[in-house]
Amino acid sequence: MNPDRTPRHHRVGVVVPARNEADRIGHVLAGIASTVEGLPVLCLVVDDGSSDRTAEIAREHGARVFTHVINLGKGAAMKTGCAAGLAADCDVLVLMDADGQHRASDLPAIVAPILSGEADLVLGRRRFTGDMPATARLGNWGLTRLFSLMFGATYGDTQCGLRAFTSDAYHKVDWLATDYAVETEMLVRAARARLRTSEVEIDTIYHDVYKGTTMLDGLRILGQMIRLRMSGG
Amino acid sequence: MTGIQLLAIAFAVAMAFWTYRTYRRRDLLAAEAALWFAVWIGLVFVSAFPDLLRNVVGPLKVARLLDLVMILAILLLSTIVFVLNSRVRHMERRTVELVRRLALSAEEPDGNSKQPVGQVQRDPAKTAE
Repeated sequence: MNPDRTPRHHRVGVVVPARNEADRIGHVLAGIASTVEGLPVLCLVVDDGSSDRTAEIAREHGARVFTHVINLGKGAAMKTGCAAGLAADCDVLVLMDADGQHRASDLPAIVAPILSGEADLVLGRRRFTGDMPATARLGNWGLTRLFSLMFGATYGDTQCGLRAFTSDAYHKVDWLATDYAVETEMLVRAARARLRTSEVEIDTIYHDVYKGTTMLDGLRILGQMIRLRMSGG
Repeated sequence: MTGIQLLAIAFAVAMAFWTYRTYRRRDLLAAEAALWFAVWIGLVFVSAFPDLLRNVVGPLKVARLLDLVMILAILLLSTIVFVLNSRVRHMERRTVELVRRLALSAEEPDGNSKQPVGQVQRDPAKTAE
């Protein structure tokens, strides 16, 4: 840990939006260390209208749980988690999927560029090879290329859910999307606000039952990109 | 009077009755009910006395009376769709805000969550996936 970089930051809030993830949320939370790069970590789980024991299991693993009484979508859950993180004095926020796709061991690498002052927003970049389902690989590749064409900013992976940003950056990228279009909107707002962005290559694990972005979500994201482009993105 | 005229009048009367019932259930404001009654009464008049509107067809450069009715209907429907869409969006935004506020306010200062308002206690054995 570099002693020069900690005084500016107090606490890392790991926001985990979850819906019906009782089978995996415990494993995800158990993997998150109590400190990252010397800073205390607060796990904030947003139970987005689950009908299973997601919230209960998250609480058993020491997370603070915020429950949406009805399902609102990933974007809304992320927003609730970030608001809770800011209220709990977290000045570095990390977004992490609840389905076990991300490795908690990548957290230090994701927050490092923020703690060193190199970046305001850090994006995880998945490898579009190996275990990633073929449709997801094609969709991610297509959306990433389209994003470059439409907004002029080039990222390796515009849809990865593992991200970190400072509390100041959060106010600049604060999104309206309540669904899976949130990742794209966040990047558009980051580009508009000229945030310093960094990318970190991460490992991903794909389980038998894929619960992430579907083809319909991909079309919604495309629609959101067109809408954002028309509104001056 | 032709069959299509009778059909249009019957439709307008049925819709006027439905509007009245909706108003009695207090699902419509008086002003909204009055607006809808005006639409249905207008439809009855146009259907029963189509000659009344023949004089306006010419100056508006519309070929037939039926075309004028269709154009007016499309304009009315477009307006209704727009108003409904904006109201649904508004309600959606307010619902999201309400649910998020409930989630944030349901947590106690010590970090323990209270049962959120409206949350039904579930039997884990029945709902576990």
